[in-house]
Amino acid sequence: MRRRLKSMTLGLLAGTLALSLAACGTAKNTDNEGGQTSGGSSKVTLELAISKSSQDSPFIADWLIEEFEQETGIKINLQLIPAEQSTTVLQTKLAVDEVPDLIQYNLASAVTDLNLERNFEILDNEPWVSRIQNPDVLSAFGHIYGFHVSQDTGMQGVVYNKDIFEELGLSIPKNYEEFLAVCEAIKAAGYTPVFMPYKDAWAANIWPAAAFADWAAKNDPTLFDDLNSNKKQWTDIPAFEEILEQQYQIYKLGYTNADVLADSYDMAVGKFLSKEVAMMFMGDWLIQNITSQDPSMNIGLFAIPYAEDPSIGASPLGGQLFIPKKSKHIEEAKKYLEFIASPEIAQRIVDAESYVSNLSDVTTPEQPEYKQEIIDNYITPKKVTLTMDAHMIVDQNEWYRNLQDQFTGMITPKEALANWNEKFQELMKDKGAEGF
Amino acid sequence: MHKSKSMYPYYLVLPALLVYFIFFAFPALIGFYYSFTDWRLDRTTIQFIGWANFERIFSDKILLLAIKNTLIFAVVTVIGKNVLGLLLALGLNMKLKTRNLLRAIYFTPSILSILVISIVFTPILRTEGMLNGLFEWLGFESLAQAWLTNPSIVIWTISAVAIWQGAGFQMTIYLAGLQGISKEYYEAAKIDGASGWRSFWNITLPLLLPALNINLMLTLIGGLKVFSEVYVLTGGGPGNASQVVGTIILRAFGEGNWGLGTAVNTLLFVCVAIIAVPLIIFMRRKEVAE
Amino acid sequence: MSIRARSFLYHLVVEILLILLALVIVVPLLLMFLGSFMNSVEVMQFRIQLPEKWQFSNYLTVFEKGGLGRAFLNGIVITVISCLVNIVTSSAAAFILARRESKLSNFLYLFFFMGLIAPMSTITTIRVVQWFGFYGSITSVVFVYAALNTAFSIFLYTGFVKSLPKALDEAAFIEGANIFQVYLKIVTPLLLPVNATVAIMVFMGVWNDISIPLYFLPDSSKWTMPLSVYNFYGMYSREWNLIFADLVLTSLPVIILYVFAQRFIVSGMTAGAMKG
Repeated sequence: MRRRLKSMTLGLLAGTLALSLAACGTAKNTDNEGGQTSGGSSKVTLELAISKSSQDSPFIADWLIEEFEQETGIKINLQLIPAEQSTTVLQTKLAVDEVPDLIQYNLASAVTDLNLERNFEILDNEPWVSRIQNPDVLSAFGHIYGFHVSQDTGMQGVVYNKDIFEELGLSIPKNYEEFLAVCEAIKAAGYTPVFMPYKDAWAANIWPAAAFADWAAKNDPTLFDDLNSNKKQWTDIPAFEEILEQQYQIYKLGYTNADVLADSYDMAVGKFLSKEVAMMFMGDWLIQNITSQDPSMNIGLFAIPYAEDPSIGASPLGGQLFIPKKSKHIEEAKKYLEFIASPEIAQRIVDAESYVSNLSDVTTPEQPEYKQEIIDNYITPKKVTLTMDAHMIVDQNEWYRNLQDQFTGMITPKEALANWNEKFQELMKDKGAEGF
Repeated sequence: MHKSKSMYPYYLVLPALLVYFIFFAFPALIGFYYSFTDWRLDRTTIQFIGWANFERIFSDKILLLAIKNTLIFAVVTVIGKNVLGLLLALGLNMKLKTRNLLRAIYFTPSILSILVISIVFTPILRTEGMLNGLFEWLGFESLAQAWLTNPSIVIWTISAVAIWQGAGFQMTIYLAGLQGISKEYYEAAKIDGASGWRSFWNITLPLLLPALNINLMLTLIGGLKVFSEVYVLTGGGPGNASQVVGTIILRAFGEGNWGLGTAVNTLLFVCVAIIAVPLIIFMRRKEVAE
Repeated sequence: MSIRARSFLYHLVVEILLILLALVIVVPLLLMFLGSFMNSVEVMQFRIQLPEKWQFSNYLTVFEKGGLGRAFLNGIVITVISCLVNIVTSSAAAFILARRESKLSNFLYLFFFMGLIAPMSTITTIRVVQWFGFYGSITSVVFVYAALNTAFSIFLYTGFVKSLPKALDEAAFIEGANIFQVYLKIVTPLLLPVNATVAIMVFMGVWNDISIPLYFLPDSSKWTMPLSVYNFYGMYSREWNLIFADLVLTSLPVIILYVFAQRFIVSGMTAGAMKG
């Protein structure tokens, strides 16, 4: 009956189509051709979905995909998904079981957004697992779900132009007052001290995310657990207000670009290259982006100077590859991971990206100067804290929007925290978190 | 009478009805069901929760702001697009040398991708952007504004950009209507000694009624359902200052709350239908009466 | 002053006003057009000025690196067929709905009209397509686009069919024509201006859409041009000259279509004359 209905409707539809298609044979052709490749009778094509914003990922480099095809005969087709839509598109595809064979995503967000446990293959028994040195950066719920050749977490702080600092005889500020003094000196020399691209609301979170976490680590180590279990409220902590006020002061004192809410993150590299700006609150990936455009640029990173002697913020490793359980080509997808993990290929990637290798038989290349400095100044003396983002299990966009709102001058830090507190309660309740 | 009815058989409606029903109406109807569930993609089960989503919507103060913004946008764009569109159509229906070129120019924005709009207007509307530069050059410094970042004017800016983009489309519909009006009416009016204004009120406007109806309807619905103009220009920001109902839906989806997002969608549908359906029934009657 | 001179002056004033107003449209578009020929430093000034050196190579870069050839063909195939399906089915339906004045036709009209208001439900639509077994095919996307635009097209067509005098088809019926002949030979030619308008709007909507292929076409080699442009936009996010070149290329087909269709829109004159 169901079948019959289906074929009848199909027949009617076909009639409709034929009515207008009499002249147009091309459509059918394209269609059949497509059907064959995805049907995969002779050759398998893997679909790899990745957000547009991660398109510099080494896992989708042309040479890698080509060599993989030469060796195995398996083709890889990239789906570059527009960044703002990537979560929704992937969620939808997972919900209707029409999944890509490989997905590049951030492990932490995969847990909050994509229901990692239900939707993705456990990779514990893959041949490369035994060579992994730091399985934590690939694991959740006690299993390995993701794949990466690096174990390097991103560091967040103040990205600064060392040449400008040297030219003006400035040293790294150790607290907020010193930071303001540095800004004043830079401004006097005709540079923009700090670039704030807060049209992208998330960019306004770098300062508080690192500062909140460092403050908590030093003054209230269980703070984030307490927030996450509703034992404490966001409005309970006066230090948070102060930290937000500090960032706003930097803007109010005229140490930033004029139009902070109109400038967007994609302008940052250009601003550094043209030596217009001296500093920006961002992760060290920005340094990588700047120096890859112009290797002569001298860029470094120091910790967010919200208080005396702060530690640097570390964000969890991102950009892992995942294999959805519903993939039609799980074996072939696993082969791709194996291929990337093979010592020779992995070494090439690790060298090219200056990664800290996560594979025992792949050596970590000499780190660029700025990374070495981070290691010497922060990692070795153990002055590293995971940023607030690492502790959050709900979507933070409303928080970012409140930070942005603060810069319109419409709300105070207190109100921003109160608004977020309310939203946070709601989101945690939806999530089914205990205590809400 | 009986004969004329059978002359127009319903089976010609069938192909359109089938395509429309199967690939749009049916899935949309089923979709409404989700507004009564706690559907989330990070959970395995979907439960029926009655009106809970709707209760939540009305306790959200951002939504109230979004409704206000949506209404501002709808009213401003309906008036702006139609007044401008009609004026342009009247002008470009005259025998002008550059008529075809001008028509093409005015129509162009409405066929461009919304992406173009965002990419072209962002640099223009910046505080130190071209528009303020122009004001300065003309000596009207006081008119300079933070067009997209001042919370109290941002929605008006977006409305203006929408009018910039859309008026040309309304113009074409009015043009098509105008060209359906025979010259003889005007000649007769001239002989009777009617002024330009009188013939506009007595001939043009009544005969333009179908075009006017279409345009009012399309701009009204488009205005209430506004999404992409806001999305590409400000994303609802700064903060939540330019949120409209359409972007609130995305916000709910983004927070993983698909049931809630669908509920806002359903609510928007019901509200627009309440405004638009009586209007369309009224207009259809009127058209028949004409 | 003679009437002729006054009317000439009046026309001249209107023309000059319209030309001046057109600058409001042209200037932002010029920013994009001229920018597409500049180098990446020059374009960042966002000024209306001729490029120091016309870099036609921008277009070549965009075409090669963006892989636009394939996407262009996909876009043309999907868009043209969706348009055809939509125009044929909608105009036929609207013809009947406008001519009959029964409860059923009123109901159907309203039912179609609701499509202008109702939101699309992506997940359930995917489910329907899966049930038919052609998820991922271009055919499915064609149907989804045709369905999405049905409400709009029927709405436009019905309004205009109503303005055509019924006497025209009645005369043809008396001469022994059947419904198809009346529809094809009497109504369709008179609807030419509306056809042109609908064609452009549907074409534009489908051509510029960036979400349906994302959800309905898992094989990205079937994606359409704006999506490729979108990807490209990120890849060279700082090179505005290339982005502008890209936007010009994507906009071109729709503009060309308009220039062609405009002839038909003008030919609406004939429809009016016959009516009078």
